[in-house]
Amino acid sequence: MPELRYDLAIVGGGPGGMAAAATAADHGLRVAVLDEQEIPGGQIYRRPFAEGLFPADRFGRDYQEAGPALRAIAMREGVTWIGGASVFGLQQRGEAAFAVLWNTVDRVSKLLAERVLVAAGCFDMAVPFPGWTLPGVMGAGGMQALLKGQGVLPGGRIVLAGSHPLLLVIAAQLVAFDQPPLAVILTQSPTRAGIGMRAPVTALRNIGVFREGLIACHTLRRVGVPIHFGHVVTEARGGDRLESIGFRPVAGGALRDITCDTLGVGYGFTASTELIRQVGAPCRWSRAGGGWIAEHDEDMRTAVPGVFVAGEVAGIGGAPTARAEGALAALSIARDAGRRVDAGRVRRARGERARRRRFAALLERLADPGDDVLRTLRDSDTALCRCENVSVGDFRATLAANPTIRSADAAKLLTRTGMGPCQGRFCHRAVMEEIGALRAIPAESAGAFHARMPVRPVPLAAMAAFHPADDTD
Amino acid sequence: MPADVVRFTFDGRPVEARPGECLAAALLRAGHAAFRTTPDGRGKRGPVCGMGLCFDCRVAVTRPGTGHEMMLRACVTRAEDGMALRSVPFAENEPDA
Repeated sequence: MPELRYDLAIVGGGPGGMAAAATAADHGLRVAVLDEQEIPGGQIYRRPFAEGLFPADRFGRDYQEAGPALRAIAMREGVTWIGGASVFGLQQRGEAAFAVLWNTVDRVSKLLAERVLVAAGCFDMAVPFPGWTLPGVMGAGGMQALLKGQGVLPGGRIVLAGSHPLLLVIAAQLVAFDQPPLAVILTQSPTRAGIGMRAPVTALRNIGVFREGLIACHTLRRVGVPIHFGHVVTEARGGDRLESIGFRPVAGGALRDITCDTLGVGYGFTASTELIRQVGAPCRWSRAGGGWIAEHDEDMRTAVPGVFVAGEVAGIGGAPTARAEGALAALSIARDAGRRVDAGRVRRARGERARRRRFAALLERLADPGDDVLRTLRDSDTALCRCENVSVGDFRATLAANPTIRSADAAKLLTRTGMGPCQGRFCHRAVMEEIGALRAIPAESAGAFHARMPVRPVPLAAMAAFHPADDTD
Repeated sequence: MPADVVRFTFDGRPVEARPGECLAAALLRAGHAAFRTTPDGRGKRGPVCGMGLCFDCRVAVTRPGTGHEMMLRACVTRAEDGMALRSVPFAENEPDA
């Protein structure tokens, strides 16, 4: 059992959280890092469950080096790694102390920390379209999690579709696994995607996923994987599982079919800000940059004293941004904790962060499919809320019958959208868009679903194993 | 010495996993795409997010020796020898973890 009092609790063991842990340890802080995975890495550097599942360089040098580097941070003096921990709540205890609550399958646990850094990452943005609930239709990031964590491809005949350059990277990885995808379908024109450029501007070369995407394009051409630019998948079909997809030009045109058993969908990512919202720190809406993202000052402090953010939680930015922000946040935390912090190091960290965010903003524009493309995909039979199986048509009818409903929370009470086990992570965007369209208000006016503790389902058995006597503060 | 193969069942059918592998990966390799039926009985579901957030891959799991069933996310649960998995029929969909 780890000790229960820390100077800093970090939620998320990806590049942002681990960079923060290293910097905080440099300044003598006692740090706990909590992550749902057993070993550090986050989603981007998710490690295989056993060594030798695939060649060590399968996902590139950055991935290869991150494994031992992050593990070394986790084992540093002053750093406690708490793996297999699902953090489900942050409780403020007085002026500057927090209880961090987490669970495993068997039990609920708690630690106390003076400060908390939320570096919880992101997940595939959910885009409802006809057939998107069929087994075999996955998030592209989810597909990559299976590849990296398990060395497993979800199916044999795979199509990748969306607007994010990561799709090209994944496609090339599938080639490396000897199972090239049948096609990659991107909403952008080649020029819009930046991929058609002969000599991409320097800025683009600085974006890892973009550089990799360009290399991936060559790989895909070499092995003959078609890339359909300017096209969109409009439907997934099948009985008990995916059997085929239909796609057409974005501008409209004839539908074409591909017989397949797996579709990886990648229109971007949603930031995991539920803990930030639960603890009461304000978020702002970023349509193409992660949904509800945390507001923060130039040194990564949120409006709740003692709560900091880094990486995707502050807006989708990729691993280098997360690293820069994790380091910067930890410097702020060390300073706030009264440690001596080198002013030059802070200045450099701020500069690095600003540089990384500029690249991220560029990628965000290039990867943005645009609302006009996505909103037209769903019809009235499409499931809006996957958990509760609420159709778009039923949702619209309920809103039409209840003209006073103008918020996601109010809609949830009447329609059950957002009430299932995913807690609205996969329907909130479409719910907001629907309310916005039906009421002729901006989607963000509908607000986020209220985030309450527990921010993810906790087994009753685990809850029962938590004795109130443990809760002495 | 760790076993080379972990054996569990899914709706009574044997499935083999590599030691350390998650249930979702083992099921997918065995050709199972659908892991459960939705609460209203209208559709099948399988893994979506692959990282424990969507709960679409949940299965009813009885661990050997426990005698009780838990609703677990197949993508974040390691396969254990002797586990008995049930694809969840509708009206039995409350997740445990």
